[in-house]
Amino acid sequence: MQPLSKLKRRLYLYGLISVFILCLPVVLLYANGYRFKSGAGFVRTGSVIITVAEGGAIVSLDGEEVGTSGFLRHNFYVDNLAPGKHQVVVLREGDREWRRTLTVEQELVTDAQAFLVPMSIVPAPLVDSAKAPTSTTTTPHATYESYRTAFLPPKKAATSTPVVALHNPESEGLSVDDGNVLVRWTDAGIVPPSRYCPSPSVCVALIPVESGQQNTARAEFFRGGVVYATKEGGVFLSEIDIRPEPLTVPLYPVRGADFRIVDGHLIVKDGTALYEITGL
Amino acid sequence: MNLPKEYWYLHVGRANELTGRDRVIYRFFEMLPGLLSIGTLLLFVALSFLVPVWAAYLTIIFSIYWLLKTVYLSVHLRHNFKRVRHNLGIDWNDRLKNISHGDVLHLVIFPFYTEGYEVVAESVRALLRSSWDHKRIAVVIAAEERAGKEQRAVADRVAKDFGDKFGAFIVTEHPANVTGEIPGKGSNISYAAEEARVRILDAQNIPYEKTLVSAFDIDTVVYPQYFSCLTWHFLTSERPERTSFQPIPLYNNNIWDAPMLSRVIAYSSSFWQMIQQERPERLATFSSHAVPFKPLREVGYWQKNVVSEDSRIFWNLFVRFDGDYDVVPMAYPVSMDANVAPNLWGTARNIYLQHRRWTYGAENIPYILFAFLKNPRIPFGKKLRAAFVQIEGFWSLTTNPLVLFAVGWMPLIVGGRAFNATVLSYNLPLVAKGFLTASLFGLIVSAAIAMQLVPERPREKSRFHSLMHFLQWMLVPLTMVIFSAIPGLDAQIRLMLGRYLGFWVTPKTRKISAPDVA
Repeated sequence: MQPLSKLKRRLYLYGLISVFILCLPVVLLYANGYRFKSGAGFVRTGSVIITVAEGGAIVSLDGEEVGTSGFLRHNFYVDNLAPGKHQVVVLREGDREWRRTLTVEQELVTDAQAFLVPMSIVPAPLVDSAKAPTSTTTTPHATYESYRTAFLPPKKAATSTPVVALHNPESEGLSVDDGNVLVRWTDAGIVPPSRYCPSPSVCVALIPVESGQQNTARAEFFRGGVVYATKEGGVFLSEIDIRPEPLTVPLYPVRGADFRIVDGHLIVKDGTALYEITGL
Repeated sequence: MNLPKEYWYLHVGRANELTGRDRVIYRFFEMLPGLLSIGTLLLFVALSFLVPVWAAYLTIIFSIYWLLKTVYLSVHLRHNFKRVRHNLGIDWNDRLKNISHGDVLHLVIFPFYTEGYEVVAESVRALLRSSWDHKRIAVVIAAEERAGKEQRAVADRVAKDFGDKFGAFIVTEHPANVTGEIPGKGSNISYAAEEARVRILDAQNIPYEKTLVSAFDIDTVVYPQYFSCLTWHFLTSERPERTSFQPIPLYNNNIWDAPMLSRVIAYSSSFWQMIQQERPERLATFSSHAVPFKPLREVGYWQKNVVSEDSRIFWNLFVRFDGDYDVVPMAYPVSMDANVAPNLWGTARNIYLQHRRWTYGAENIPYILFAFLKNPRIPFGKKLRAAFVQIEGFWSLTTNPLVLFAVGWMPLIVGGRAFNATVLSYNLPLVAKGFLTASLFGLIVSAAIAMQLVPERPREKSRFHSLMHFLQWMLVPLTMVIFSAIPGLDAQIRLMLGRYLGFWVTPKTRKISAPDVA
C-alpha cells in the first residue's frame, strides 16, 4: 500500500485552502453582526444582552419570549437585531413588570440589567424591646437605638443644601441638587456602563433619577438603585438608567417620612415610628 | 573517520563552539525560534490591549485554520493507520523471496543507562521473537561508565543470557567525562557504533553498505517482521545509501499500566509520527530509527554534543550529502514504554521533562540555517523548504495551542468597555468555540484509531479501563497546552537565552512484560 499520493495531498490542501479563503470573509462578517436578509442583501445588525440576577423570570424582546432565567441562566443574548428601538420586558411572579426600551445600533451590543422589585412592599414596624411586652416581635434595644440615633441631626451645622454624596464602586456620585436627585459618572477616563447611554454610541455623564416637581431631601445608593425621600411624597426607590422607562417604586409614600440606611438596613421614620423596608 | 574539510561545521552543537562572526550568526539562529514564538504571543497580548478588534480577528482566523488543519492531518492519520494495518498483515519474508538479502546485517544498538535487567532483557527477547534470521542480527548493549559497575553487570548478564543466540553480541561502555560531549544517548550510541565497527563489522569482514543500524531506545520492542520490513524497504529503496528509515513509535509496552494522562500523550506522539509518515518531505528521523552504516560512518555517527541526536543525524546526513538524503517512512511500528512513574505527579513531571527534551529539537533550527549558509551545494529550494518546515513546525507547536486556549481570549478580558460593547466581542467566543468544537472530530478519529492500536485488554483490567481509553481524549486541549506548548516554549527560551539543556533520560520501569505484538 502506497503512502498518500502527492496529487491527493495537493487536492486536499488546495481544497482546504479554498474553503479557508471562502470561509474567512463570511465568518468575519458574521462575527461583526452582518447578516444576509432576502431582498436587502447583507445588513449590519446589532445585539442586546439582558441580565436577570433572579431565577424564574420570563424575558421577552419585542413581544417574543426569549427565555426564562434560572440557576444556570442569567444572561440572554439576542443577536441579529435590526438597528432601532427594541422593547424588553421581564416578568416574574410577585414582582413588578420591568420594561426597557433599548436602542440597537449596528455592530454594537446594548446591555441592560433587569431591576426586579416585589409588587407589594410592606414596611415592618420596629418596636424597641426595652419598651414592648415580651409577646411582641421586637428589635433589640441597642439596634433600635442605633436606628433611632441615625435620624438625629448632626452635631455640626449642616451645609445650606442637604446633599448626600456617596460613591458606589463604579465611580458614580450621587447628589441632591435643588431638590433633584442626580447620579453622575465621575471617571472621565472610563466609558460609562450602558445605563448612561441612550444609545450604545452616545453616553451621558449625568442621570436625573428624580427631577420632577417634588423636592428631594435625601438620597442614597441602595441595592443597585437609589432610595430618596421627598418632602411631599415620602420614600421611593428608583433605578439608575437614562433609557426609558426607569422603574420608580414608592416604598413608603407618606408625606414627611425620612429614611436612613444603617448597616445595610433601610429604615424609615414616620413621626416617631420606625419601620424597616424588607424584601428588596 | 575524518570529515572532509568543507564540512567542518557538520558537528557544531552550540554557538559557543564557534568563534567570530560564525558564533554571532549561530547565536542569532539559536534565538530565532524563541523570538518568533514569544513575539507571536506578545503580539497577541499587545493587540488585545491596543487593538482588541484585530486580536479577535486573529483568534477567529486561528480557529478556522485549526479546524482545517485538523481535517487535513486527520486525513493523513487515517491513511497511515490503514497503511500500518496493511503492513502488519504482510508477510515481509515472502516479499523478500525474490530479492537477494542474505548478506544484509542488522546492527541493533540499545543505549542503556540505569534501567533494570527486565527492561533490557524484554527488548532483546523481542529480537528473538522476530522472524528474521537471528544470526544476521548483531546486538550492541551500549552501557555508560558513569552508571556504575552494577549497571555494567546488568549488561553483562544480558550478554551472558542471550549472547549466543545472535550473530554477534557485544557490550560497550561509553567512558564518562569525555571532553566535548554531553552525557546522553548521542554520545553513547556514537561510541557504540564505532566499537561495533571494529569488533563486529571489521572483525567479521561484513561490508558497511550491507549493514543497517537500528538505533533503538532501551525499551524498544520490535514487532515480529520489523527486520524483514526494514530490509525490504532498504533493498527496494531508490538510493539505499542516501536513505534513513523510520518506523512508527507506539508506546504500547505498558499502555495498560499507564495513567490516562500518559496514554493520551503517548498516542498523540505516535499519531504525530504517523501523520508525518504520510508527509515524507517533512519527515526527519525520530526516536528509534534505522540508518545504513556506510553513510552513518561517513558522517561521523551521531553528534555527541546535542540533545536531539535522533533528528540531528538526519540533518547531518542531509547536509553532508548536499541535500541528497531522505527518510523513508516504513509505516510499520515498534513498541516502546509510555511514561509511568510511581505516582501521577511523577508521571506528569516525567512527561513534561521528556517533552521538553523532544521539543528541544528546535536546536536543529540554528544548525540547519547555519549549515545551509555554509553549504552552497544544497539546492536553494530544498534549503527553503526544509528551513520553513522546521521553523513553522516548532512555531506552531508552541504558539497554536496557547493562542487558541489562552492568549486568544485576552481581548475579552483586557479589551476594555468599548470593545466589550461590540457584537464582535460577544461573537468571538461563540464563533471560535464553534470551530474548536468542530475540531473535536479530529479527537474522535484519534480515539477510534487508538482503540484499534491498543494491545488486547489484559484480564485483570475491566471494561471500564477500555472505556477510559476512549474518553481519555477529552484531555487533549489540556495536554496540548501543558505538555506540548509550555515545554516547547520552555525549551525555546532556554535555547534563546543560551541556557542549554542537557540530556534528560526518561526513567523506564516495567510492571509486566511487554505485550504480545501482532
